[in-house]
Amino acid sequence: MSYRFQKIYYTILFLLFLACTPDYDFIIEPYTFVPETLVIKEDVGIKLDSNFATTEVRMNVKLSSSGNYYIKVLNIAGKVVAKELVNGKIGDNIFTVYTSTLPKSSYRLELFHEDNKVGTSLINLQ
Amino acid sequence: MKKLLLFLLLPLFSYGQNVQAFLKHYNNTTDVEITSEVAIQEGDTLRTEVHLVAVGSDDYTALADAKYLFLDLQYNHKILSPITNGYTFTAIDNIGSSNNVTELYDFSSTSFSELTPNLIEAYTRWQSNEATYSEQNAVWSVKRIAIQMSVNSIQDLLDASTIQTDLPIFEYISVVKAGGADETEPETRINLGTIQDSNGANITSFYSSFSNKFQYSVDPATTYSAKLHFDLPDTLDPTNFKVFVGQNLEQEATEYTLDANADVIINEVELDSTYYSYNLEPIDGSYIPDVHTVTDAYRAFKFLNDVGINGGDFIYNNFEGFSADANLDGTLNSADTYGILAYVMGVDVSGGTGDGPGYCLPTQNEDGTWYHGCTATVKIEDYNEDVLGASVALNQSEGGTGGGWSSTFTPTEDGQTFTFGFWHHVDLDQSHSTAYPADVTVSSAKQAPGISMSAKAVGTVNFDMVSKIEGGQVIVELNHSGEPIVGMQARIKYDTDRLILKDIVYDTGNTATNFSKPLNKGLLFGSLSVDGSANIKEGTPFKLVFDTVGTVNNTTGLFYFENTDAVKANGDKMNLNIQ
Repeated sequence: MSYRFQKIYYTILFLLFLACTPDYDFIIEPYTFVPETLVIKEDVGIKLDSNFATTEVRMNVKLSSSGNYYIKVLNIAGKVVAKELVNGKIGDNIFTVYTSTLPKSSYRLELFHEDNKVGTSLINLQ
Repeated sequence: MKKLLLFLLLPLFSYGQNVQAFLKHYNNTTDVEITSEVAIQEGDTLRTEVHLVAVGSDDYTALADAKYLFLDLQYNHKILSPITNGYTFTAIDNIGSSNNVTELYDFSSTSFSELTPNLIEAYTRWQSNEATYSEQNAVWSVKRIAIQMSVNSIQDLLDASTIQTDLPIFEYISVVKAGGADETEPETRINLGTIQDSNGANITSFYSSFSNKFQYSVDPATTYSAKLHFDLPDTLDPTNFKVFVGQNLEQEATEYTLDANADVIINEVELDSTYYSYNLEPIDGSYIPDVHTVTDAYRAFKFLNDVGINGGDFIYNNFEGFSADANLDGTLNSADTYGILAYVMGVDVSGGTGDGPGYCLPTQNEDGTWYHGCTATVKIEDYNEDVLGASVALNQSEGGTGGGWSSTFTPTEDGQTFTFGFWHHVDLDQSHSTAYPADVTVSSAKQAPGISMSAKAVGTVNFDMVSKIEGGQVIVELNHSGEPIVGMQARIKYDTDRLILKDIVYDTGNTATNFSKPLNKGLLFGSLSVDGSANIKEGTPFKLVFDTVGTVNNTTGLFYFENTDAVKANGDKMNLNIQ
């Protein structure tokens, strides 16, 4: 076989090989980078990367099921001063708690799935 | 077998972190320790110290990883008046590292529901709402301390030889009040607490030594002190107010800040000498826009319009009528009611309507601060219809008596405690004023017939608030499905660096008047049916839409509800509870 024929032959053979390869659906799992300070060992929970905050603080919300969750900010007497509806996925969810608007005080953060409290944490504003 | 058991239990003993917290009280002048047997005198300053002790040497060793301490104390504010900024985190400051974080939070008139020496258990029960804090407590106030060690650890606060703190981790000084010797429960309590490592794990056990109650005792003073008490409503934080007190008009007045019980102590007063208490002033006037709300506007209209078929069956008493006379022209008419309504809706009416006098309502300065010139401090025994009401009655052909506004006091051998009321003009629902008439003279006060509106909120309306990100915008919805109301308003603060208000969508009904006004880093919005003919529509009466500036991942903390108010058709004030 001539060199030119071999080149065409192998090119066609290679293309046939590719054509016969089954179609794979590559699923890229979303990966959430979780900083060491936000790692939660339990299956479900809420954790801040610091107990103190000035303008904002990162928060990891770890969930065992996806769906709608409420994050509530409460004062010392348990009164809701802020509330957010978030759509959480299974595993780690990194959020930001913005604190520059809140009066300087110590607050409790609570995570609810429907009416069930699934996590709590404290945040002290500087 | 014993060796095996010891081997199995060894980790518990080796890695346990058993710590106890305890308090000590000292006379701050003499450094004598004050106990239930050794008393301090009224007028002296008491120092309260917080200490830690590790139970054993292994517990001390295991504290090397402990980084965070959180502790709540509760003191009797009828006996003690903490001195403003009179506190230090002594042991932490002594280490010298600038990276350690210390914070103190004061919660006036607040009390914890439980008393258990197991502080972590109390902390856990509080987190799960099984134990709670309640506000408006008549006896107790709370101090919360939070400490985070950076390079150091909690272990570094303890002396290695005694395995307890030599210097207190926290201390504060208080003046012992006049009359403190007569009060029960002279004690400071430790409510709850935790010590955690950098991963947020609690130490093995954290107890209050002996019990939660650390007692002291108080002897009566040998010199005379006067106690001024200001009968403030729950909506006002007493520690945000100052008052000037002077002896004789020639002498320079001294400034005093009120304590958590709304008291001021004047030490070593001269008996039978007249003193002057000048008007109470807020240190931070940010509460002032909360004073006059839809309830006040609605009541003003009711005062004007509900006068019976003869036009003379007023539903207000003399002082209420005077207070509704917003422009102080001596009559209550539509100029007052529409002026109040205009103010509530966000119009600056201090200059009047152009052809009428200005309204004595709050004004906002160019720097965003608020001022209200029409306030007064009144002796509580004069705060009734017999004295003040007779003095200010509207439509009098011969004019009022002019008395009742004095705030002088004279300490005597038999009396050194004086109580004052505080009043904001046009605060018709008395939300930020002393309830009128004062209880001490209510039996003799002339009540106008037909008065039915309560000064306090008679119920609660729940509004469900949800914030979320939708289509790149931040949405805040207020959903109403509770008690029928004819008016409501809310004042929120929001993060103006991250959000720009785009729209307010009202769905309050066909007859209600909706309003909104941008405030300093905030927004006032609401709705009112002036004649009370229709209730605010249920559903989602208010929807706020914001555009975002830069990246906003979620909304937690971007909003804060500063004040809310609601009113029913009969004029009753309702608490608006944001859930």
